[in-house]
This record gives sequence, structure tokens and C-alpha cells, in this order.
Amino acid sequence: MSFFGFGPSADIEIVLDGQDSRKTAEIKTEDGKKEKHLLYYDGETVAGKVNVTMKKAGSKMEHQGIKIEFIGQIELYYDRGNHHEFTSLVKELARPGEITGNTSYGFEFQQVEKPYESYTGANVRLRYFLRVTIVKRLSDSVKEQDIIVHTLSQYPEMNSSIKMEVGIEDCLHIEFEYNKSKYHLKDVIVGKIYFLLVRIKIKHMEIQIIKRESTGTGPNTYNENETIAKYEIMDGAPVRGESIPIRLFLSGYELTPTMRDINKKFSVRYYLNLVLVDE
Amino acid sequence: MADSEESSPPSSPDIQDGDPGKPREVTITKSETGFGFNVRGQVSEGGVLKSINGVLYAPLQHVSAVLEGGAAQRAGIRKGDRILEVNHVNVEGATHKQVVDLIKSGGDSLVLTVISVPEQVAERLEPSDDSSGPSYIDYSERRSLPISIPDYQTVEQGGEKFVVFNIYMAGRHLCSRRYREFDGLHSRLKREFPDFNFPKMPGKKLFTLSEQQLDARRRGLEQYLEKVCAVRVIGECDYMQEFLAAPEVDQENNHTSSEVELKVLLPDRSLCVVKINRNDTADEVFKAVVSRLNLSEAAAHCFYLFETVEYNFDRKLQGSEFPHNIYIQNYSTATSTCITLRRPSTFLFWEAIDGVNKGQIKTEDKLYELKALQESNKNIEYLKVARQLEGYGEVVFPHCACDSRKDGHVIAEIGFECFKLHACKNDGTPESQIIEFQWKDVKSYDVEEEGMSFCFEYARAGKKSRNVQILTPYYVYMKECFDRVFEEKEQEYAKLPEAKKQLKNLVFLNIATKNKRDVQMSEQKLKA
Repeated sequence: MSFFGFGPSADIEIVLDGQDSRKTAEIKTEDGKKEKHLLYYDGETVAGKVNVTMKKAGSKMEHQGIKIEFIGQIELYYDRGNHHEFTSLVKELARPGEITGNTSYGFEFQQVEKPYESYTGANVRLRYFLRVTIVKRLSDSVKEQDIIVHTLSQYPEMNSSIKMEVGIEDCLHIEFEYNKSKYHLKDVIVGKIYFLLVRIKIKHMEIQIIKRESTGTGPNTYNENETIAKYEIMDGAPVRGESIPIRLFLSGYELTPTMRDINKKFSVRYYLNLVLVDE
Repeated sequence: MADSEESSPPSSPDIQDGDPGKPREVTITKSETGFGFNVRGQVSEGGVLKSINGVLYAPLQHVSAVLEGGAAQRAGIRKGDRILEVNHVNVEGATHKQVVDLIKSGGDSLVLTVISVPEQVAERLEPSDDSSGPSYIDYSERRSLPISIPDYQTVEQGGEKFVVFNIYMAGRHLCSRRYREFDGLHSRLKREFPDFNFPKMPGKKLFTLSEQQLDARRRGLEQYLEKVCAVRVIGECDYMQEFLAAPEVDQENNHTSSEVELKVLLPDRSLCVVKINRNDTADEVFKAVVSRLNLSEAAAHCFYLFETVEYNFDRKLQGSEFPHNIYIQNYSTATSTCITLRRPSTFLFWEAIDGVNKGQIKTEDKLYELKALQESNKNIEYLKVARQLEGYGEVVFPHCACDSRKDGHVIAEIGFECFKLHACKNDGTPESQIIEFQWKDVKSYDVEEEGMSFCFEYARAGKKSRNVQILTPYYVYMKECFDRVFEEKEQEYAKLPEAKKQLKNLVFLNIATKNKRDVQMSEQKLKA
């Protein structure tokens, strides 16, 4: 959009195919606002139309070419200048020429590889988007359209439970158990805490979900921890032999899948914290 | 890998001809070598779905190896095939053990549903072991390379006009590349080194740039190349080497061009610059040098192009070699070029001085006299004195192994008077023993391509003649020196008066033809 009125300008609109049939998903932007975009999976074709309309009817615009790009990139907030593009495809829509009135260009990126899930975090952002560029002599006109990519996983049939016995010598012995080691985003954490030895006064017990986002590699790794959930599971002092049940519904919280070493740039992991608070 | 001692013959394969990217069913029957394939894949269960040909699948075990001529290969199984079903049981997301157990459960018969994938897809699905875990590529190891892009030019190829940027290394022209090729290199490097922070490349533009913009682009590309090549790992990787050295091939026109500049060192120590094509042969380059210097045909006949291999040793180039390749591979040397123009075996004034300075010509007490003549530029007198000295007109080869020496090397010296083998240690330090071979005793010589060596046969008084093999990498040049000596000897012989001709051994003359019959006939003629 040229505010200085450098010549006639045009509106660019990117319309993706299958708007009615395709599902949408929500993702947070950097500022915290929620945005809704079309949802795509790995290997799917990304196709649609680019509509270029002149703002002032009857005017025409000279350009040096129109192209569309499909880009998947990782942005590290502390290193804004460098966008790491792990997927970059480009298609030429129009050769240098003129635009008058309304023109529509079709595009199709076949079976595009989308290896990672879209992610917006505290220090890093992974996004996929289409970018249309009308190249002009003085400044280009650019329009971007985001899409959201989800990765799907197959659920393992054998999902062993996590069982551990921990404690402080002579003060407190507990045994905790969680029913699975791999949970999906809408799962339920079912477990129990069994008190083997209690010699201190406990006020209450809660379970927390911590999200740790690691950016950078080697000595430059930066870990950011965020407490996603805090859920009280016990109030008051327990006695020996008491068993406290845990039932935590994950669908109520904003979780993302665990991401391990994405493109060697960042990782996102989740931890379950059991917190016992004494007098 | 499932194996068996069974000796039942393989059954006829059941391959469905169809889209290679679609799942297909294959039946394999065990042969004497078992099923003849290996399975590889994840140990755990489940996992992230990835797309193969547009369809999402859970992690699949795959065929990591296929035995040549085995049952699986004959049935149509290929390396890299992803396994979807084993004996009609779906194994998407299965553990390795589960799949192996299923294969074994079928006994001698096995039905697999597989999907073939091209190599790049296989790489994406199963990244090679090197990249698993943290990558320890040391990007901090740097060296500064004198790489620059001082200018650019517009070329026209196949009706298309575009700009190419000339890349120089230490003042020597390496190649010329257009922006598109830089962009391709950048993408490939990014994929090869995903965790390296690459400097920014000058931007893409869809229209022709102004002079100012072109210069800005030139500077940007120069900075990019400098920064990227400075990191040793990246500068030495295959893509970079290919980019800097390979001849430019325009994919649309299949037209190899690219004019480059080559510097040639002349006998008087001046430089001659010729414009040649990158893939010109030594013969073609020599012709260019001759025309540039305006040498007469007779003069041109005495010279040729040599490569300065070591301080003391120049190797004559073969007509079919590519001087430009040799030229750019030596960009790290201190001299401005490694290609020189010289006379093959006799010296001129400057070469004689060189020979004296390098110690090739053994001056002994004549050094003072020679220096005086050199100072006063008395070329002819200088040469007269030099010619008398030992080592003049000799070619000394770098030390190498010889089949007649079990321990230690030899230094071969080809001189006009005789051929010497100077014994030395394996590292080249000379020892006391020197064996001289008179040219008339050399009965035959040849190169041996297979063994990459030079061999000659020499006569011994009273004994059978002996073959000697010299294992030098410059075996071709050695043979040429021998050829040259014999040629000159023949010329010398031709100038002798009749009487002397009769006395000289005629065997000597016919060596060049290596035809024993001729030799014997001439011998008889002499006796008669």
C-alpha cells in the first residue's frame, strides 16, 4: 500500500481453494491475539487464486512481474533479521506487463512438504504462509496469507505407565504413578499418589504442567519455562497409607505437541510437576 | 533379516505394474539365500505422520538393503521401499520387532504391501545417521580466502542476455556465474548446513537492474562469498568447489562457454596473459600463447607449456590436458601462476641463471665467473661456461620409488650425456650411490599405464639385459625426455662425418622406433 500515492495501486487478495470444506484452526500471534486460518497437513496440495483489483476503477498499473511464494520459516525473536526458511517454493504468476481492472491468477503448489507444525511461542515462531509480490520499479506490493499446519501422530498401542518412588529420608516417602508416558492433546492424565511415610505436616498438594521452550544450540541455549496449569489435587494433611487420585483433563489447557529439535533450531517439551506444600 | 537353510526354488513374482508412488502388493518366497532383504526402522511405536506422495502415513519400517539376485529383488522389492503391510497385517507405526516377527511368522512365504519412494523422499523420512543427535560441525574454524568479485559483464547466450559476475581468487580469474547460480548455491548450502547462520544474499529482482543496482548486487555477492568461504567446512564442501571450478553449463542451451584469463610465466620472468576457454587443451592454449607473443613457427617448435610442480621441477604438459584446471588448483601458491613457457631440455640464459641459483647446475669454482657474466649480461659467454658444467641440460625428477631398490628412493636425472639414478632416502635426502647409464646401453623404454611407471631395459656387458621400473607420477614426462634425448642424439649423429657414423653404435639410433627387427638389421648392416 503506497501512502505517498506513487502511481496507481492495486488490492491483492489470496483466495485458497476449498474454503467451505477445509477445516480451520486457531493459533496465537506474537501479541497474544488469536487468529483463525485454514488447516493443512503434510503432503497436501496448496492451491487457490490470486485476485488483483485496481483501487481506482479505470486506472492501470505497470509492473515488472507477479510471483507467489510458499514459505515455511522459523523466526527467532532475538534474531529478527534472520528468517530460517526450511521450505521455499515460488511460482511466477505474470510476466512484466500491465494490470487493469480485475485480474485473477490461479496457482497450485503440489504435494507441498510441511514437516513441522505451526507454532507461536515466547521466543520463537514457526509459520507457513503464501506471499504474493507485484514487482514495481520503486517499491513492490506484497500480500501475505498465513496457513496453519498441524502434524498428526499415530498413537502407540503400548503406552507404559510412569511409576516412581521418591522421598526424603525419614520424613516423607511417596510413590506416584501416571497411567501413560505419551499423552495426546485431548487426553486425561489418570494417576495416583500413595503415601508410604508421612512425618511432616503437608498443607496441600497440586500438580502442574510446565512448558519449556528451548531456543538456540550448544552454549547459546535459552530455556523459557511457563506454567500452563496448576491443579490442586489434595487439601489437608495426609496420613500413611493414603492414596490420592489424579484426574487431569488436558483439553482444558492450551497445549502444543512436544517438538524435538525442530530444524535444529528449537524444542518444546512438557513436564508434570508434583508439588507438595508444607506448613 | 529373515534367513533360512531352505533350498526351494523361488516362485514367480507378483508385481503390479502401476504408479511407482502407489502401494503395491509383492509376494516373496524364500530361496537358498532366504528372502534376501533387510528391514530397518524405528524401535518405538507410533509417531508423527509424514506424507508420502501426498498421503499421510505413520512411521514405516523400510527396506534398507536388497540382496543382488535374491528372492526379494526378483519379486520387485527395491532399496528404500516403505512397508505398509506384512502378510495383510497393517504395520503403520509398528516397532521394528513387530514387523520382523510378522515376517518370520509366515514361514517360507511372505506378502508385503510396499510403496517405493525416490531418494530425496527417503532422505527426508529417514535422515542419515550423521544428522541424528546434535551436529558437531565446527563452524568456528575459519581461514581467510582472497576471493573477490571485482567486475561483471553482460553475456548473450541462446538469445538471452544476462549478467555474469567474475569470481577471482588471489587475482586469478576462476569462473563467471550469474545471480541464479549464486541463489542455487545458497539454497543447497542452507540445506547442507541447516544450523549455520548464513549471511544475507542480495535480493532477487524480476527485472533488469540499473548499473548502480548491479554494482550493489556485485558487492553483496562478494561479501556473501567471502563470509561463506571463510568457514573451512563450507568453503571446502563439494557444492562450493563445484561452484567455483566447474564449467558453466546453461541448462536451457547446453552451451559450455566461459572465457577465462590465464597467466603464463615466460623464460624472461615476465608474465603473458592470454584469453582462453576454460576447457581448452594445452595444445590450444599453447597456440594462443604463441600467437600472443608472435613467435615464429621455428621458435614455437622449441617451446612448450610446463607446470611448475616443485621448486626444482617443471613438468611438461600433455597436449590433451586442461591448463586452466591446473592453473586454478594452484591458487594457494605464492607465485602468480604455475604455468610456464620453456624449452624442453636445453637452457636459455634466464633458465641457466635459474638453474645455477637452484643448484641444478653444479657450479663449483665457476660460480664467481658466472655471476660476473650474469651481472654484465654477457648471455652467450654465460651459456658457454654453464654448458660445461655438470647439471646443465639435465632434468632432475623429484624422488620416487624404483623396483631395483627395496628400501629408499631414487632421484632420476636425465642429461644429454647419460642417465643417472641417484640413490636417496624415502624422504629425498641424497645418499652416496649414483648409477650411471650410458645412452647407448639403453635398449628400450616405455611407460606402463597400469602400473603408472616408467620402465627401461639396459644392456649389461656379458650378462642378459635388465629391466628397471621407476615408479614416478611423472612417467609420461620422463618418456618424453627420453624421446627428446634420443631425437637430439639422432640429430647430432646425422651431423657427424661418414666415418664416425660407421663407428657409432647403430642400435642407438633405432631406439625411437622400438622395433627390434630394425635394430638387428642395422646391426648387420654395420658389420657388413
